[in-house]
Amino acid sequence: MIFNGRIITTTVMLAIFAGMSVMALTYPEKARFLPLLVGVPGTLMCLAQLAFDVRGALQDRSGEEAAKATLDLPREVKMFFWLALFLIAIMSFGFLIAAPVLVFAFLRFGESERWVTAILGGAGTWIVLYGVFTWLLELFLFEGFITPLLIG
Amino acid sequence: MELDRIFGALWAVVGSPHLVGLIILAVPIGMFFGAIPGLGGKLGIVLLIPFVFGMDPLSGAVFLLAMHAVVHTGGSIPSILFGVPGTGPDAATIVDGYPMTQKGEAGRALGASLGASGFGGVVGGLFLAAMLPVLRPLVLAFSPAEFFLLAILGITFIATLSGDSLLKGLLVGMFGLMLAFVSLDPFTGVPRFTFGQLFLWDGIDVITAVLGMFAIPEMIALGVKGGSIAKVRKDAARYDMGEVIDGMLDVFRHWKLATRTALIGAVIGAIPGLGGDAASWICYGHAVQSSKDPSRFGKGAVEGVIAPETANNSKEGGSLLPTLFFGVPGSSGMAIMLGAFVMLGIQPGPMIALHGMDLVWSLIWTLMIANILAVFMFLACAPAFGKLTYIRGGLLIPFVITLAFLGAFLSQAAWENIVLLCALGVFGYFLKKYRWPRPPFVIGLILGPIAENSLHKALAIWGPSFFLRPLSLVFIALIFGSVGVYFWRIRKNEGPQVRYDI
Repeated sequence: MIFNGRIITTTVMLAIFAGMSVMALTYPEKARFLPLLVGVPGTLMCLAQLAFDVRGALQDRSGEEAAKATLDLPREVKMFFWLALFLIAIMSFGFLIAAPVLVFAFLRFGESERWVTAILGGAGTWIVLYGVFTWLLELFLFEGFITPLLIG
Repeated sequence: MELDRIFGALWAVVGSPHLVGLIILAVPIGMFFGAIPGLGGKLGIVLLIPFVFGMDPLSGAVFLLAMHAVVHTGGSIPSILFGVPGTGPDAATIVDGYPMTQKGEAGRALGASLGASGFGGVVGGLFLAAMLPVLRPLVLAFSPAEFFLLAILGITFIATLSGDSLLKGLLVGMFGLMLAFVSLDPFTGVPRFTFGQLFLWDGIDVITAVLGMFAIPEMIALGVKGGSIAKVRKDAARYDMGEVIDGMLDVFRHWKLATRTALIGAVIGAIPGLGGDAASWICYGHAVQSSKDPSRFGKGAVEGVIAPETANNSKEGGSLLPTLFFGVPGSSGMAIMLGAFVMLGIQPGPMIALHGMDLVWSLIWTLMIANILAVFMFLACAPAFGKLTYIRGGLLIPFVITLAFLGAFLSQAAWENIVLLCALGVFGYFLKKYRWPRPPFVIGLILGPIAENSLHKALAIWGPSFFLRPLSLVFIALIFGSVGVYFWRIRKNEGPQVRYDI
């Protein structure tokens, strides 16, 4: 029950409301008025929701929900891994380098698509990013933190 | 005499191959800017301003307005097909548009969105025309007191949109409100919840928050589920012109709702400071509240597409009112448009009513023509777009994630938004998984700053007695009416009202 996702989600929501309410106490009166007006009832309502969730988890004797959560876990971990990889790569190398490489990698290694499909996906991404956004619209796309150091 | 002027302006537009050519060019550009998350109409105007240098004022204004008028028509495409809002106001279209796609009704949803956008755009233009005589007292009647109460009226719709659990819906709405307070406090200048991050001083970017709460969770869920976005077999769905036209006809089957939401959207658009996001969500809430069977909403009810889409396009007509006649932009997009008008040599303000009515009528006709043209230009592509939803999720996910990252970055040119997008995306996935309704989050995030700013201003001007202003009393009655209807329906066992599949 401790690792019940439903309870963890409500607990995170509770932590957000409680944390922001405590922080709001440090602000001047006008600045804290509305955050406290929303944050304090929000904290109390989260506690009520948490009580409902704990009661629900205790009553879930069949373990149906826990079984489903276990079934989804490997795929969820895989998706979170790719999301983190997208984040880290784009923050490091920027859109023009990281996005085409990651699209290629996701298609080839994440989804086992054919090499041709993966290469076309990566190349298409680069063409759109460079052709439409950089060349045609002259927009600045984030270069990442490492790419400028490498280019000099 | 006035009729001569009105139809003379129409002829000046449609009789000029140059102007018609500019409108035909502007419409697909506007739809492109709408369909790519993070670009939007404001950036569209900014990027197109260099191209109108040297044009005569009418041509330049017609080109920019035609482009801006159809941005939300394009914005509905990714909202319906992938659950990724093209622009902030298109987020409301996801709530029923995306479930329609999952049911294999993408063509119908796109048709309804097209029809509603065109209808809304025309009504917005007609509203602008009809309001010309009574313009001044209406716009001036809205003070911070009314802004505050209108925002509260919008927030009461959170209850209607809460779905299975009122408690969860309220909490998600309040979570949106709390995030709306992340910024420099508008009155004391104290940074609130910014953790020393400069990019948070202007508040959390709505595009990033909406992409984080909807696009990323949908893609994670698609990766976990496997298969394609559409949950029905391809041969069980229709992706032909008939399906799209059927969707367009839905707008006329629900013509009362479409007319009401178009008018509400136009009125909200005419009130400076409320913005298009508020218009689409308030109209969505109205559609749920006025429906005989609210339980269909959130699961693919076509009215849930019609209401926000009519409002999105009709508000452009409304927001042109204060922009042209008072020089007060009706929306952030119109603020940039105002600058472009001045650059073109058009001087918005009361004097335009005396010396610039020919131009005003030309712009009204442009607004309507661009919206009608957008419908026909997009109609041919809609069935093909619908088929995209049968592409395997695995092929689609990396492109949509890249697009979401790009949208988050481009909306404020801040890399920090990408981190925020991922954090909200992961949290949004668990909210989706454990059936917390996400639409109330957007209402809280959008209406929070409006409510806070207006409340402080109203208290500073009138003190607590602002509640007793005549128009305030009307809004208070509407708020109590809205809450009363909700509880009356619960009592009649018509709830739970909405059950979200997204």
